[in-house]
Amino acid sequence: MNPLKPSAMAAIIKVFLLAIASALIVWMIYVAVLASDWIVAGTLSVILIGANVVYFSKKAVASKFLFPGSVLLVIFVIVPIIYTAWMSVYNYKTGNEITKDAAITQLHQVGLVPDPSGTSYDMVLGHYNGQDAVLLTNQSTHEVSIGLKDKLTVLSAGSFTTDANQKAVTATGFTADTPAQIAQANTWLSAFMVPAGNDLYISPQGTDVAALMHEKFQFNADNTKIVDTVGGITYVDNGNGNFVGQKDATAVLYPGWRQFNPAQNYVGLLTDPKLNGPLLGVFIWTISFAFISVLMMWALGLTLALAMDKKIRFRAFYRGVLILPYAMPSFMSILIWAGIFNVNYGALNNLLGIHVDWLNDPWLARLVILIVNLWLGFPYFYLISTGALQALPTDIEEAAEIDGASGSQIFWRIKLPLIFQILSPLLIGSFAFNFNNFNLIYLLTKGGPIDILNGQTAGATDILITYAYKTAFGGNDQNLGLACAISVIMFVIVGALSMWSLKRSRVLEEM
Amino acid sequence: MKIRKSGIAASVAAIATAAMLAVSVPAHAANTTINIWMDDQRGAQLSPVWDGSTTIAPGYTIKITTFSSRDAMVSAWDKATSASGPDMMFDAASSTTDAAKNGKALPIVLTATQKAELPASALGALAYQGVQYGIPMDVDTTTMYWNTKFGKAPKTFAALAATFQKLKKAGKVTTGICAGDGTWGALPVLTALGGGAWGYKADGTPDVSKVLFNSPAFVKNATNLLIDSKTKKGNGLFAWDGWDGCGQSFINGKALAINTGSWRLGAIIDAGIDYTLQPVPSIDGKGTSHQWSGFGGVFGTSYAKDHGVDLGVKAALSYFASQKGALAYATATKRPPVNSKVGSHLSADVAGFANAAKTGLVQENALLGDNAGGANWYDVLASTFTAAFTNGKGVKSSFDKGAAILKVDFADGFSKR
Repeated sequence: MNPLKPSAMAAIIKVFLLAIASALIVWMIYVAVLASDWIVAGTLSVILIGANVVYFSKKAVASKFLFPGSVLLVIFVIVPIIYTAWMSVYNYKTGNEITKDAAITQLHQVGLVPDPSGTSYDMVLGHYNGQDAVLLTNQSTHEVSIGLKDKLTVLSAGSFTTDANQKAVTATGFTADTPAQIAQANTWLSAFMVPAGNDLYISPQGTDVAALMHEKFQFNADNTKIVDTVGGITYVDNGNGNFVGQKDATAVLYPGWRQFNPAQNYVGLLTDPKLNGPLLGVFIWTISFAFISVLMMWALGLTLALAMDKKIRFRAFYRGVLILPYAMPSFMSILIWAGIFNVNYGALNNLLGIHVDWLNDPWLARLVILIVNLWLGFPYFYLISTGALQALPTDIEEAAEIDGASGSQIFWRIKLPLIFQILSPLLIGSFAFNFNNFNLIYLLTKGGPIDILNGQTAGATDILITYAYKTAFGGNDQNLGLACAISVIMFVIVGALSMWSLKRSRVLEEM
Repeated sequence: MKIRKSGIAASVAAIATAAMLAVSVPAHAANTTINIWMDDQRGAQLSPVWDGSTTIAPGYTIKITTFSSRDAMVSAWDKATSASGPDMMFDAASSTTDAAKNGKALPIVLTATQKAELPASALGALAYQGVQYGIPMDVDTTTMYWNTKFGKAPKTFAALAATFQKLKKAGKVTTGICAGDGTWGALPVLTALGGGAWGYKADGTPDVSKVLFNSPAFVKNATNLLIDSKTKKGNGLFAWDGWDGCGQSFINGKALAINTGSWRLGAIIDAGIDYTLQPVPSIDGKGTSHQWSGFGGVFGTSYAKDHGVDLGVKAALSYFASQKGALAYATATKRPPVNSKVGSHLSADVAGFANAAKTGLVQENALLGDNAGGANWYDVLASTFTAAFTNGKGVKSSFDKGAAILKVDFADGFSKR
């Protein structure tokens, strides 16, 4: 038997799994097509074809391994990066989320307002002379009429019958819809407007009531200008996603739309004093926090790893205990620490009999952040340092001992450089992680303390990611375009620092 | 080779099957299902009553989608598309106005009867740029729970302060009155001491030129009653760190009173606290304290039109605006109703909170949010309280600084309102 030839069972499993995956993708394509998501449908089609070609080909052996990872990399890393960068060049915020066409459609609806008289009608759906029709009873005057899509006909007494509430229920030539027909009426009734003269319309407001309406907005032919006939204001397209008053640009009509404006968010970051004022301080603290955190965590983790490298009693127990903080969900640990440092009921103050407001003083809060991060992170560094120590060749240490090197010299001049070489990518990765350690900051201090009364707009422990989050989402409105711009800048900074560090440590050259 | 052929055949068969399944889904008859989103609380309470109903909007079937939390619902709403979005949603009034601003809400027209039964201020909370989008259903408001183990609730704030000082000295309490929902729930204490947010004109509209935050009366009363004369810091009579802070002191019997809403009723009863409900007493017992009254409500989404159920949604909104709909909602949720005709049918608890709502001030989100002043009302309060009561920076100077920010905020917010 050829060992390379797949067994029949393996082939069956492969075909079965591929068939399931293919069926799921086809279903997703169908759903995407229904939602008119053509890009998604197209992408899924490419994946579907690609998967079948790769896994039924005998030649593309390497691709069989690379294909799933590549697809996931594209979907979960490349696409979000591109999308974030793309959205960063739009005016994309609360009030400017939908397309221009959708906004204009909505403004047409918003512009259809009740007549000041507040006239409303009881309504019966049905057919009149073969046409869709509504039987209307004016709730104030009890005048009865038949409404067609192009005509309103007032009925004379005797040509209709009413119920106890004086609501017309039947009329000559009018056939009321059955409940089943009413349920299907939305298709024609939704856009049904009965002209009532003087630019007024009777518009259904449900399946049994209608109201007298008029269009207060008049749109010009190319939808660049709207005249509010009630308010007497002319709105013009400001080129940035909104109709604004021609004379008073602060009069803004909503909804607006997402508008391509490549410079707005990036220029805003540089020129808006609310944004750029605290940016330098936040940036310095972000770098400091990430660097000090990694340094402390590595120092403690390595120290413990060196200690556990010796044969001591209960070593297995100690090793288990040391990784416990890592085993606990970090958000729980952070919330517990937040309670411990609480000024009023925190365990620390209670045990020490002091009244220190740990989280309300800028420097103490920063210290708390570093302590808690050390607690959360040292087990990871302990584990990787242990691994690195075990990977070191013992003959080098033995050779150094024979050459008369002391224990201290062996550690500082031989072990540490070798461990650093091994751990460099992980240290850089950890730096990048802490650069964006949103959970820790937000759950522990929310970026505070912040001295709002003296004009501060960023908290003492805010790092770039929390500052960006608060800037983009902290207020009444969400500024998604600005958040994307800040994310792009952070991506560039972290990417550049990581590449520089990797280059300096020459790790890539060794790989 | 044999394997490849069979594999291809099986895969093609699977694809074909899925494709046939897809195309065999019947061409859409008119959609008659109205999908309503609710958070965990409302969903649990209202699903048994309304899910599957065919009478709320005749011809349509109500389908209630309940989320695990309000955050989960809001997150899903933010990401919703025409394919996935709801037809209606129950939430705080601000969700309606946000949706309107984003073009995701369905404009509606109210009948004269509906307008007569729903207060204009409540309707205004679910309107945007003069257009009505939603129906207000409940009032989110607070009142003072007094722990009766400390005797009867005092009639004046001065008496409350005296009781606190006596019991604090005896080591029986650590906190006087707790703002159980953070700075949002602090307004009754401010107003009881002669402060507040803004004044009101004769017609009831906010007078944003009159900022009450640092009024002389408040500064005087707060300095006398809330500050420890030795440390110059807060004496514990007033705490604002919310349910997880001073709220737990109340639960543990270490706070005299807590100002919070009906949503904490269950937890307080479960903790075995005997309480009475009343407004926070004013300084001399003559005036009345006030608290924010927010509104919860329901609105139709623009997706309803895409789904072909917009008229069904309007019919359902009409039901929710009616006495029948409002009573069903209030009975199931135990939330104080907005509809003025429903009160007499309610249980004592719900009626108690509905009564408390009468002293509420409309929570004007446009004024209280982040405006040109640089920070919103809630954050300004937190910073001011911290400066005055935690750091001992002085009541007058701290509240003056806060008032300067709020003055700009209120004026800016009022102009955009």
